[in-house]
Amino acid sequence: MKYSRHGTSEQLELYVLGRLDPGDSDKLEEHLLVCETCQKQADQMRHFALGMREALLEEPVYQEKPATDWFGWLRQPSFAFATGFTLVFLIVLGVVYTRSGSRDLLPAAAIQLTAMRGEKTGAPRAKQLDITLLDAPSGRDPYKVELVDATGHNMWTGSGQTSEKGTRVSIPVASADPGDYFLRLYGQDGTLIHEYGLRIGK
Amino acid sequence: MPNQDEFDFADSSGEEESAAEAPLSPEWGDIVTRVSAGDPTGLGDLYAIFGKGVRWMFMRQLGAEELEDRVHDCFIIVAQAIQNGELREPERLMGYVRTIVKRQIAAHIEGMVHRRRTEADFEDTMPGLSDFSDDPEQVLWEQQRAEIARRVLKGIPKRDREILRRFYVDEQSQDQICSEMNLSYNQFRLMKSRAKKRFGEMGKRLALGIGRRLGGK
Repeated sequence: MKYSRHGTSEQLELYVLGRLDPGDSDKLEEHLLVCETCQKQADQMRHFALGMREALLEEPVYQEKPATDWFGWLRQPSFAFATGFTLVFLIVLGVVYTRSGSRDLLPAAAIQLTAMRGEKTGAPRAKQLDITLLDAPSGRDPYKVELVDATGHNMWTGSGQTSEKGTRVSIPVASADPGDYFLRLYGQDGTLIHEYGLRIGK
Repeated sequence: MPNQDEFDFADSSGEEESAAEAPLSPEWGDIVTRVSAGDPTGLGDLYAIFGKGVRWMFMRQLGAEELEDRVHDCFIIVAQAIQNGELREPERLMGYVRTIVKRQIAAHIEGMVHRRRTEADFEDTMPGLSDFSDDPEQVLWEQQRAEIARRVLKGIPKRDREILRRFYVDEQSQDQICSEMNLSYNQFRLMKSRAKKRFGEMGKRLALGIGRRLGGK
């Protein structure tokens, strides 16, 4: 007595879709000739496949998107190129700026100021100005000194040290643009004692 | 029209049906011996056993038209072959029957192609005289089947629809789909099985509704 085997769901589905291997298809077909259970299941598979095919053909094609890669753009060649270019540019700019700065600005410049109406003492561009206020009143207490620009905007505030030759003050002016400035000397009580004109050259 | 059995998916649980043993096949040798001896019971048994299967295969391939004639022709050919001693291996009876069915189907299709080729010229000169439209009942059933499928598709995620599209429309293999969509075989089968189950449930409800409407008339 011979036994006949049912096809699996997968085999039956591939059979109705015409995609089962020919050898398997022949055997399954022989079985289908005598097995109503498999006939019924094959019919169901066929209805499902045909219905799905028809409905899916009406649908717009959906393409699966890759998983969101928020930092994927970092690996883009264009980004790497742009980053490299920017870095090189910044390095070159820094070198040029540093060299030009050290060439244009003196480390320090010493000047002596006298308060005279309408008079502005010239000073070279430097990182620091060592100023001696010749006509500052003598005294033991330090004076408050303020540097303002031509519009009266405060640039620096500090204190000066009195000596026999006058009041000495060191002011960092590396960031000061060429132009007119005023140095104001205040007494301990806050009263303005003198104002000195200063012109920083180019 | 659809009936509920057509939507009763056996694998709706998602588990693949194992290659279980079917009921015992008939003793082909005994039947072949009786048919070749001209025993009417042999012919009766032969027809009873493979008649349904042959009918199913013709129906699936060629439709209902002239179905009984085709089954009868096939039976005659097989019976004569047995009686003429052409079937040397009785246990291969079903293989022989399958071959005959396939030949019949191929011959019918070849005939249809030939007829269409010769009739096309006539139709070109006499438009509108012939009505070759499909069976309206069949057209309705196909529309309903597609509608059920549309509803099933609406209720599943896009990714699942993409899997179904690849398998049923683009005819990609299971291996390819699983590989490209990063799926395990079980996930693939389970997804397909759920869609079939939903299709089956909706189809049964539809068939039940149609049955009630027809019964009420």
